[in-house]
Amino acid sequence: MRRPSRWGRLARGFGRFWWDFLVGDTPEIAIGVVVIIMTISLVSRTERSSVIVAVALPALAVAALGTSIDRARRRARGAGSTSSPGPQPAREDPARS
Amino acid sequence: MIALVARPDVLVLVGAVFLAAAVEMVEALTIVLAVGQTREWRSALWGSGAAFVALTAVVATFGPALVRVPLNDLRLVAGGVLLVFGMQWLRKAILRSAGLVAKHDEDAAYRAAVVEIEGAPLAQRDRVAVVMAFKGVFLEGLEVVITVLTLGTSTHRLGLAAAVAAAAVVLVGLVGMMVARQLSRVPENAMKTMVGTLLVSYGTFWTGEGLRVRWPGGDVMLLGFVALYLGVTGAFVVALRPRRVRGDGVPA
Repeated sequence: MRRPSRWGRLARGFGRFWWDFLVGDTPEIAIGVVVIIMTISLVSRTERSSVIVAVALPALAVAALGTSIDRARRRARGAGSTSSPGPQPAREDPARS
Repeated sequence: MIALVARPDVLVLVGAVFLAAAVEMVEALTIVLAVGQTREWRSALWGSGAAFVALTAVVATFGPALVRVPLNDLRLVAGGVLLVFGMQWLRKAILRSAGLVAKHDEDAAYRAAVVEIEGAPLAQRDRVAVVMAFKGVFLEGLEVVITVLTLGTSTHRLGLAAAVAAAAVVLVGLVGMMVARQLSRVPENAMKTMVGTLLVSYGTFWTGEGLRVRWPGGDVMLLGFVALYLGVTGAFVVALRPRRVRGDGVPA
């Protein structure tokens, strides 16, 4: 198999950086933001000046944040229950601190 | 000048960029101090200097190009990126405040950097020290650059955003060098919470603007979003904190 060229490696590295940066270990946030943009895009076609859009956008953002926090909470509790009886704070990847 | 700073959008821009740059500078400085104090300051300065040059090149290359993108498209993309970026910061800050994730410990980061340098073969230590300082400053600085580019270009205030970031980096750098190894006392999580709140607020505002939503109250709505997300953050932290248990095992 041919090794990728220097430009190929650069492009792959650039793509990986953005993937790690925007998706990383929180894909639910990236998916949530795409859903927010699509939903508001649809709603704002009919409700451009309406208060509904002004309420819906932050409400969807709070819902996406809540979903991500709930996912992290479940993971942290799962990790804590296998190692010790009390809830233990999970360690995170120091590179993404 | 005072009238400019009093505008809600400029106020949020300055606050977000300054705090983001300050938080990241604290983290970068921890690594640079570890390199300088363990090995030698020349290696730390070479690595940091090279990283600053690379980061400046990124801003100089992408900044003017981004300003030419149609404003609504730019705001939609920047708004989406800021929503993702801000929610990641806010999520982390909430989990740390609630005790579900260990807080970022600058003392531990310092010790880890020292161990990495001392673990390298003697002949390679200078090279390892330069690379560590470069990586520390470049990776932490890249987050600041993305904040500066998205916030700065979408408001057409790239110069102001870059100047505010530079001021924060210089200020934290000077104070950090004076207090040296006391960086762990910086209230990093509180600053992270504020940055996350400001980024999500701007992200919400611009995503709407990019989709041609007319916000009630115009720019003032930004301050409303800041208040909303601060309230939501507080509510999440309270809800997630483990409840105190009475002596008989029943939650108080």
